[in-house]
Order: sequence, then structure tokens, then C-alpha cells
Amino acid sequence: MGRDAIDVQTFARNLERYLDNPSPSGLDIKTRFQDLPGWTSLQALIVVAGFESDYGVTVSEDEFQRANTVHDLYRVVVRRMAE
Amino acid sequence: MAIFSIPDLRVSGVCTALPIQVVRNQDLDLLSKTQIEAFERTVGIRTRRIAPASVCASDLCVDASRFLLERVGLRAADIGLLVFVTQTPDYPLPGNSMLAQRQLGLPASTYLLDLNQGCAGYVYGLASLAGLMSATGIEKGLLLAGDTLTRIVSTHDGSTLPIFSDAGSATLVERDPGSDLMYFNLENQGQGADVIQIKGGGARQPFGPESLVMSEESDNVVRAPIHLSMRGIDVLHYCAKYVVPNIKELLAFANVDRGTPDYYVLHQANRIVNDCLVRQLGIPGDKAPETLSEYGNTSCASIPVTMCRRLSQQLTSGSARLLLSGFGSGFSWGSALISAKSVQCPEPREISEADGI
Repeated sequence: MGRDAIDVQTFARNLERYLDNPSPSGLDIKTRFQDLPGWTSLQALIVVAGFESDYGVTVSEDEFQRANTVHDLYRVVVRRMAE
Repeated sequence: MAIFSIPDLRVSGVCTALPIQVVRNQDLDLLSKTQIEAFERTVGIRTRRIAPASVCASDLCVDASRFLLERVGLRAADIGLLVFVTQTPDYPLPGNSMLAQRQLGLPASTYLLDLNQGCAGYVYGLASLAGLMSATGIEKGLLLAGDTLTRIVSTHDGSTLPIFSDAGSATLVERDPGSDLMYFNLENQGQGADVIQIKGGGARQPFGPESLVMSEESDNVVRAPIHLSMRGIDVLHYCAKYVVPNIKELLAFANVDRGTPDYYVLHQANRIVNDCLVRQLGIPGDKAPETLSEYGNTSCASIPVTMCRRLSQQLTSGSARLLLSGFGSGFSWGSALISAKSVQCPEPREISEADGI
């Protein structure tokens, strides 16, 4: 997708593709993704690999762990994309 | 900048040795059936090799060395230099190069060197061996690269146990005036020293009762300070950021394009990382042979293991330009561009205690 600007809703839809068990109603920007059923460290790795595939950036483990919600994660990725 | 070329040397043989015991990740009690299915689908490792308790990295590499010397018709006395790469040495000291010298019967005049390098170790070892041969005029050198990482991971750590595997290798480099240059590009980022680490048991945290105290780091991750720890997201982060630029820089230095290498033999880390690198490189998947699903992550041995398992026929009876890329603990990464022509590169050997180790 390159480094074009993304909006948070598109980011959430893209994120759902990498989750085994997204909530039935879909991800909300306030969703605490690490509390989702079946969340594991492997799931986190898959999500970060998805960032690389979708946006051409990755995030560090500390950045990922500090992000509580989908919106937090979105901000980290956007910041990386701007670097 | 550690980007350089070395003339008049060629890789003339590569042999590898794997323990005969196969373990299947689906048989692990540690993870649920659903978790194992997801792991195999995404990380891509189905089976691994585990050395019996009496077999260490020196044994695997020495077995590969004996086989290699026999294949190329050399005697131990012909070897002037031996570099041993491992992070699981048989003993804290002396280094494994000494043990290999004893087991192979190399002369006292042999130049011996031990390198503490992990998954980047094969490229670092090859560069060090070639550099020393170039500086000293030594005619024939052996690179031994191997690990028994299954010995140092916690059996209760779902983030490392299903990944790592045991293997050893031996690579012969010989003087060959006029042969194609060997190109290397070596890089490190010490800020990532704790991405893959064993904190206990060294001089900073000497071994003691606390070295064995198990603690739960997260779900399915229980380990002690003497066990290997790995921050998987950071590994991916470093690899995605540094490895492909390193390769592209090397290709530009060698004045070739990405289509020149016939094969990109990448360290077999995990499918998530390796797929990311292949995508970034923009090369067809079949140019990056894999052994991950069958052998798991064999650390510094994964590049020679992949050469022997997937490219044996092409390298033994033909020729190819190979781009080798290793990356891992340190954080270290490096690449090499070499020409391989009529390289003795048989299929990996499978060995057990019954083979006389």
C-alpha cells in the first residue's frame, strides 16, 4: 500500500484481517485488542508483520506493548510512516 | 564500514550434520491444538531435530568436518585455519575450536578462532575465515558453525521451544587464484543486545540458585535466567528495517542487480520474518529455498543446512551465484555474495549416538 495516509477506520478493518477471533461486531478504535479472546504473543507478531505488509513499517515490542487500544496502535503506525 | 571483497578464495565444500531424532511441534503439550495449528501456519515450523544429551555442537560440526574432508580428499594436516561459530559451546571454556582440533587431529600450528555469533554467524564466520586466509596466506581453512539451542530454551516457553533446533556444519575454503571475488557486508546494532539474550550464568550474573528460578513472563512463557529469551516483535522489527537494505547495499557494491544471485539463501528464522524479507526483496519465492518447516531454526547452521538440503545437486555438479544472509542475536546481520562452482555439497547427514560420537 506504500506510505499514503490512512484513516483509523481503514486501519481497524485491515487489522481485523490478521486476527483469529475479532469481535463479532468488528474492531472499534477503542477496542483493547490485547484483551481479545485467544490473544497470544504469536498473534501480536502476526499483526506487526501485517503492518509491514500493509504500510511498509514495523513497530518495536515496547511500542506495541504500550499501545492499549486500536487507536493507540494506529498512532504508533502513523508516526512510523511519517519517519 | 564493514563492506569489502576478498579475492582468490573459493568455497569448495559444505557438509552438515543433523541429529536423527525428529520432534513434531504438534506433539508438544505446551500449546493448545488451535495454537499449534496457527503456529505451523504462520511461523511455518512443523518438525525439528534434537540432539541426544551426549551430543554437543562440537560433535555435530566435527562429524560434518570428517565427512567433508573425506569427500574432498584432504587430510587434517592440510588445514591451516579453523574458525568455530557457536553460542552453545560444549564448555564455558576452552572454546570449541580447541575441542574440534583435538577431535579432528589438526596440527598444533593450526590457527584457531572462536566466534560468539548466533543466526548471523555463518556469514560472520565466512567473512572472518576468508579475511584471515587473505591476510595470512593460509591455503585451506575450515568454518565450523553449529548450535544445540534446544539445550538452552525453557521447555515451558512457547515463544522459543517450538522454534529452535540443533545442527552442525563444516565449510571448506581454499585458495584459488583468479576466482570470483567474495563480497561481504557486515553490520550490528548493539542497542538490540537484549532482543535475544541469556541473562544469567555469565560474569555479570554468575550462576547460582537464582539462575534456575522460573518465572512467568506472559501466557505460555515461563523461563529462568539461564534460558534463552527472545522478543519476537523486536526481531521482526530489526529484520524488516535492516536486512534487505544490507543486501541491496552489497549488491550495489558488487555492481550487480537483484537478478544476479541465482539463489538467496536466507537464515531460516521463521516464516513471518522470511516472507517479509522475500517480499521486500521483490524476488520470486523459489529463489529463496527453505528448510524451516522440516528443520526449524538451526541458528548459524541454517544457511549451510539449506544449501545441502535444497541446492545439493546444483552446487555439486553445476555453478551458481549465491546471496547468503544471516541475522539474529547481537543484534547482528550480514550478507555475502559468493560464486559456487563444483562445490562438494551432499545432502545433510543424520547422526545418532550409535555413530560413535
